[in-house]
Amino acid sequence: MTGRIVGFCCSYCGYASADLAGRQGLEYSPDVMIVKLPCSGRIDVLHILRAFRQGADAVFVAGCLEGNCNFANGNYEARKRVNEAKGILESLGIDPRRLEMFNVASNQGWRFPRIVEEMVSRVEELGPSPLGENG
Amino acid sequence: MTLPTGSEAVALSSPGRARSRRPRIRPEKDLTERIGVFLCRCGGSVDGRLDIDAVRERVSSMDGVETCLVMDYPCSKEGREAIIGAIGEHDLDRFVVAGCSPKVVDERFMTVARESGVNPFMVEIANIREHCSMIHRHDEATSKAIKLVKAAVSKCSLLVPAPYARTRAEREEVLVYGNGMSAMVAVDELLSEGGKVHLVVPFDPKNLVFNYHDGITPGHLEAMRDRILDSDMVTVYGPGSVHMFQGDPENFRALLRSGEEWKEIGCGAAIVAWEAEEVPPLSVDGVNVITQADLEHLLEEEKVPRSTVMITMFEEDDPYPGRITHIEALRNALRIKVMDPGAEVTIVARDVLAFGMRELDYIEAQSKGVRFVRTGSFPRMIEGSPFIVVVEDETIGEELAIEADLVTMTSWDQPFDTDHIGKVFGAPVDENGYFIPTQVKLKPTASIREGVYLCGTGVESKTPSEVVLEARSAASRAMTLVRSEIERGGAVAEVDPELCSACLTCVRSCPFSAPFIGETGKAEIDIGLCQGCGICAGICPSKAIQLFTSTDDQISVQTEMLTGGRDL
Repeated sequence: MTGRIVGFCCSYCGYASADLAGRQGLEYSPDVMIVKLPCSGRIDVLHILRAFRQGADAVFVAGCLEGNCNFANGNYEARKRVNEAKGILESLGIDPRRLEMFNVASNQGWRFPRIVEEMVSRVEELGPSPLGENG
Repeated sequence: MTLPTGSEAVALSSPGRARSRRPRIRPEKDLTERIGVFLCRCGGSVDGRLDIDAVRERVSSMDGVETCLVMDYPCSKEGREAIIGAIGEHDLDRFVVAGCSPKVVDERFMTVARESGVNPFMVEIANIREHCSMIHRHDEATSKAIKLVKAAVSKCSLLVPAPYARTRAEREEVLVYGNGMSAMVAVDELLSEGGKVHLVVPFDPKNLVFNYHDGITPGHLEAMRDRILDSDMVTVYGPGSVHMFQGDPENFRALLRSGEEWKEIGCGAAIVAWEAEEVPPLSVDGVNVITQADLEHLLEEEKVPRSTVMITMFEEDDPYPGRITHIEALRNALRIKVMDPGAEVTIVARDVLAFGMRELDYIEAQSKGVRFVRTGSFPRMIEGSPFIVVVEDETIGEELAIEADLVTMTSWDQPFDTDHIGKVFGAPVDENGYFIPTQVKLKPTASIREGVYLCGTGVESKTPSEVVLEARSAASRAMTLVRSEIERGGAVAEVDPELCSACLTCVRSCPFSAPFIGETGKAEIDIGLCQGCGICAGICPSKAIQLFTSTDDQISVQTEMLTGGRDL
């Protein structure tokens, strides 16, 4: 058990790439839990901060590749809000590296496990979240 | 250009077949908050890789769960019938299916819901296959599956019935606004599918044969024009223009100007078939040059020049001359060689881009003796009779002087008026004036606005065969839309007027222009335009907007269940 990682995934790309990774049998850490959003632009700073308060050790948002969003600019909006949330996390004394925005295409099944790996290695480096049970 | 795929290809190959199936819909039940959970064994790809009975045990004790069944294939006919039976038996008003990805089975279980009187947006799918059993070890997969199903059940208990309606377009007419061949092809395709068309052209309808070169026989276009002008199903407005285009696929309203008259018409879909126009180069170094189209006209009149130099680059330092430049040059070069094998043809290029089967033209041109000069710099010209074209050959590092009777140059395509048209139809335009299709790969002819389709060289430069294919594809799409049921509502956004401060953030950020400030001075969502992305809900500073199937609470309850969190 490395920690608890929440991934907010847009249904068109992030979620679909995790589906493809699953179909290809590409293993990744079972500590990653995926929440499906219609578009990464649905993400709100609120959802990210609530996830941390509930004890998540890391949170990531996975949207479509830039310029390729099914809803034109949702992934750009998501990145803005992730950056906003990073600022808030920093002022709360939580390392902003616990939060990241990724752009992934639905046919990039191989990339999803790498995203997970990246987040897991950050949690291993930073330790459990100060807001979590063990923090 | 991307070829039509999926439903477009089906619509093309079997006109009139691409219709939606009309499901049997029962009136919806009252809300009872009784949840059914159906766990899928999925023939060994879930069961066996995780302990599904342990999942069942943990989930069936949750609040609100009336029944929790383990099934073999809930998505099969028998499985769906069993779900419908369980809904009746336990009087369920919502249910969770845990199995494979919602991207695969969502529609199917929404149909099950409709057929059994459950609101189709009260169905939640937990992905315990792709996201769990197929990638984790047995014990890890079991504990993750419990969390995933619990999160889905918690979200499901917070779902509210989304208002939705299935309607049909009030009018079957399709508005075609175009200035070129793609408009004509689209109208012809609509007619062959039995559609009614309003055709708006910016010039006199009598001139409805467009000057199009390149492999399209003129007689064919004239026959097409006669079919269009003689048909009772087409109303032609010209010289005309579209000034306003409002509404949604159920009922679009367009304000047209036809000659001196203003007219308002209704329609069910619109095709913007706008062609870019050729901006011909006039002269280089004082020497007159012609375009490939002009050369083609000369060849039609059987005037074959003895020596031709084709320059396939722009004077400005633009590395990419456009995707059809070399195809046009190769075709004309081959035509000259067929008509007069002794004629000399030189193609000056940075790099010859002959994609797909056009590579064969390139090989044939080489074997027939067309000369290719590779250069990085634009050639100079010396006037005289014949002209001399001086070009630096990169391969030998020397300047060549080529005598030429005729010099052709790449013409510059420019879409005109697209800024204005884009604003009217709600289709975005890029910095060069080309329309931007919403998803080049998945929906090549769709614009970002539902019911508005794009085709023609105003989207991208294309060869004539591609123009024809794309125009027919757009027409099939439009025809499918006006004849099938349109679903309004469902997973759309809703504004709480109590919280709204009318800050216009949603109005500015929506890619579909769905939010507007209503009569009460608060934001409202036009559900005919809303596509349910939730960008407005995420950006609203007053938290006044929620998306029916993805509210703030529904998202946070999932993270709570998944992290085992303490509170909300």
